[in-house]
Amino acid sequence: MLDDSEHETCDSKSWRRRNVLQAAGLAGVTGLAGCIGGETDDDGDTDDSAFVTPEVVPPENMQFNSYNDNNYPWRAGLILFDDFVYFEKLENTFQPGIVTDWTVTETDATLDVRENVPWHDGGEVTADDVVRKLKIEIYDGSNLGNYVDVGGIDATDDYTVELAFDQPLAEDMFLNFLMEISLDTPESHYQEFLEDFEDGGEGENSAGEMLGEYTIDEPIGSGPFAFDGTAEQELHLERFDDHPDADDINFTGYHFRFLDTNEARWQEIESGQIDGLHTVFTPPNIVEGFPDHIEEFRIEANYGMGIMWNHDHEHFGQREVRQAIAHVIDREETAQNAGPDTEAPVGIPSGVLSNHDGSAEEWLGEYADEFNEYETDTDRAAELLESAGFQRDDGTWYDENGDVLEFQVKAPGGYSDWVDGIQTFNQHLNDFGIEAEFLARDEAAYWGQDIYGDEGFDVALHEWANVQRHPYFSLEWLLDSGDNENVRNYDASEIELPPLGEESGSERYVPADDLEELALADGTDEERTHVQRLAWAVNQDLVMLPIMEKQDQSFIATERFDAVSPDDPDAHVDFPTTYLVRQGKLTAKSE
Amino acid sequence: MRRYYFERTAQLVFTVLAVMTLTFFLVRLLPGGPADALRANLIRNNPEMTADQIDRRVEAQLNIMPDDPLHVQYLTYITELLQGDMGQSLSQGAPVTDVIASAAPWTIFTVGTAVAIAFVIGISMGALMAYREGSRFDSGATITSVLLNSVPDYIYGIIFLWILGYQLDIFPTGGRYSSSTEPTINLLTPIQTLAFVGDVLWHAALLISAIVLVAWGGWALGMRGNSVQVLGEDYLRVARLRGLPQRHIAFRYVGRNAVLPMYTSMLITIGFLLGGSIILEQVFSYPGMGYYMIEALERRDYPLMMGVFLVITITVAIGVYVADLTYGLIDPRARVDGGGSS
Repeated sequence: MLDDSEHETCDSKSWRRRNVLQAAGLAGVTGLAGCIGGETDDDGDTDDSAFVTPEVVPPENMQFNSYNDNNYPWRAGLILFDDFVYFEKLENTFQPGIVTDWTVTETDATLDVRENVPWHDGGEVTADDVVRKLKIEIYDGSNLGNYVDVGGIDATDDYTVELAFDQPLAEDMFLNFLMEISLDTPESHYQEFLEDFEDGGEGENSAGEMLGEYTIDEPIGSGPFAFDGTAEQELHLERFDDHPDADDINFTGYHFRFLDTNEARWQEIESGQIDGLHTVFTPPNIVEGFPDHIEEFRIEANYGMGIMWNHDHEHFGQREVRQAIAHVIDREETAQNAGPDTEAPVGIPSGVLSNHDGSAEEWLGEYADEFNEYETDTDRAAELLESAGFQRDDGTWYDENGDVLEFQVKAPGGYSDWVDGIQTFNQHLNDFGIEAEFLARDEAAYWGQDIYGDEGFDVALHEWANVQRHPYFSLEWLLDSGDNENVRNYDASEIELPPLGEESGSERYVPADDLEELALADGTDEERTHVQRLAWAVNQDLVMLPIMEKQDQSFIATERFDAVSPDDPDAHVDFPTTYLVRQGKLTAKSE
Repeated sequence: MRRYYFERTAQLVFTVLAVMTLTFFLVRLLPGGPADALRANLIRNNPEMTADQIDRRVEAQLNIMPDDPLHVQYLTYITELLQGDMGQSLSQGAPVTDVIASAAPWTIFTVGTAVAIAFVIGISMGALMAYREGSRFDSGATITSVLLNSVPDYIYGIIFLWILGYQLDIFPTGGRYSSSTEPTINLLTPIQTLAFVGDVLWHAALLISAIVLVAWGGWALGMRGNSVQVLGEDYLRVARLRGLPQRHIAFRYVGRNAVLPMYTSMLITIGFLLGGSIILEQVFSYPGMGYYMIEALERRDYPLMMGVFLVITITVAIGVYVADLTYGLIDPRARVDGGGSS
């Protein structure tokens, strides 16, 4: 627990640092030649042996409470803290992290905690730490709370955690929940918050700070690199030799340099001043300009841009209109213009991920051919619009009231790949006679007012999946999330559609029921059946129109470091610049 | 004279208050508030986060946001400001005064240095151009200064960074000083102090140069015009006829009289440059006022936005105020003529 004196110490340290900086800034009057030189530590390692990557938060402002979004350096968090489990996206397998093994039954799950993992303040990571983190996650609003009650999470010994399910949950589902969780809640910083939650509070510590506003200046990590200090423009982490992965790491430092713009990041890696980039969108012309020793690693992001309709709108509430628009838009060309190397067009708009390698269709099995691919077909689009009461006059479509079929497509102006995509498909729509106009919005206004506020939208762009690969998550997001009621105005409680794989007929679909069954089904035909029924509902009714699926780009400069090939399965875990280090597959070159 | 000083002081206070009031309400007219900006940030950085989690985080921030009516917020802000409290930054989790105090000196240092250098170069070149009016040097320097003055400073910044930073590796490409340098300002350790100051200058050199390259041309052209005008005055012919040395005429008669009208604009320029260096600071990853201005705008951090705008406004207003008050001291004609109204 952090007592008051420790708080004071932290505060006074940062105050002094600010004062020194102020004084230093004011004192720049005369000059001498610059002073640069390598730092040498007691072990004789020089800072040449540090892996350097960018960070967007200035080091002097960084704080390390991940529940406070202000100035949290999430890239540094990837190496400061170990994740519970890691997801390898090439072969779709879960890899051990803090949790080394797991047993999942219909009623409970048992987690084995990795032994001999130290906290950076000297204590050992135990089952109690894992319990604390899981409980805080649930109190913070994690969906895991839909299946596990905080009262049902217990440490049965130093290295075993048991979770009792409120509702049965399949192993894959459960592990998907675990993969985004890092062990970053040491007792001294977080126990007070947990106790307050358990006492019915809102998560407040003895100093009266809420979990979401609490700041940590010097983190106590659980990963292979520990906080060393901040220098001008850089956060310095040093290898924590007691960590079990440290034996595979042959360099002593991991530095994060403040670089505020993508252009600066590209320049720095190109000129050899930094060694890696974590997930930086880099257009093909920039990648082509990089020297040969810079290796690109692409990993499926498991999300992508889709078109979101306001289903209360007089036009977009009509299934025929949504389907007509889907037939007009060329998804391949849209993805090509948005990111030729990193955006894959959605093959069959069904809400199932994995369009980069085509495995999305495997989930659809023998029904794949029966799903509507929505190939570009303006005749079919015209047919659909006419059946919905529209008519074309002089190349422009009019509704029954004689009003032009026109709408604005809202999107955040700063999302360059989305902007490129939207301009492409708006052109397709305009050529067909639908007057679509792009309205670029400021990010805050877009997410805060248009999508989740009162401003609203007719048509807007949104991710159609949310990072977790299993179809349950994207289909749940599309068919049974709060966004249907609050954002899309889409009633998915019951949907009348043709039976799965058929062109006509009528069957009642209740997505919530199928999702409940899907959460239980594990690697069986039943699992596939529920995915197919839900995917069919997305495909036929188009709650959203998935357009493309993204790949994240990371880069490693191999001038000073060796890294495995991008084909290595471990290079497909988020993210190569941090996970490969843990595996001993990103190492400093020997002299 | 007293009335003049009183009027100017009242004008200063009124200007600052008016700008502050206008800014206070204008920033709140921006689409989206702090909660919206926080939501956008959370969605961008955490695509896996549930709506519940996002709501919870936003709520945690809302706890420290005032939800009083706007006019009450305004009165509270003014009251606290008069007590020296600019409020708490929503995005930085620190008092605005601390945030600005840590950033402003760096921006003032770079901008102040650049303006001083540009001013010296500008008036020297302007005087030379006037003395050689009509010569090739005058034509060349006029064209050069117009050209350089027409290109935004961040373009020079990008070019300098590319050539002198990345290609030739002569200057650092970002930051305020080297990570390996300990910030030291201590008379007892002069070598470390000088090394640090040198390192700071080395890091700021390209940024300062980019401003100088743009700014000197304006001063030069202004100085040239003023000097040409002064050179045609009768009292200069008299001075020459009296046999005064050319050097004496150049500095005492021409230089002094030509530079006077530029005094006011120089003081105002410092204020404008404080705001105008935002993009340059981005180019050089130089965390000064520009960084916080952009952060504050993106995060709809009203207190920090207000703080940054206030610093710029007050700097400009004080620049004008100082120029008004001191102009009479450096130009006795203004004091005699303008005792009441100039």
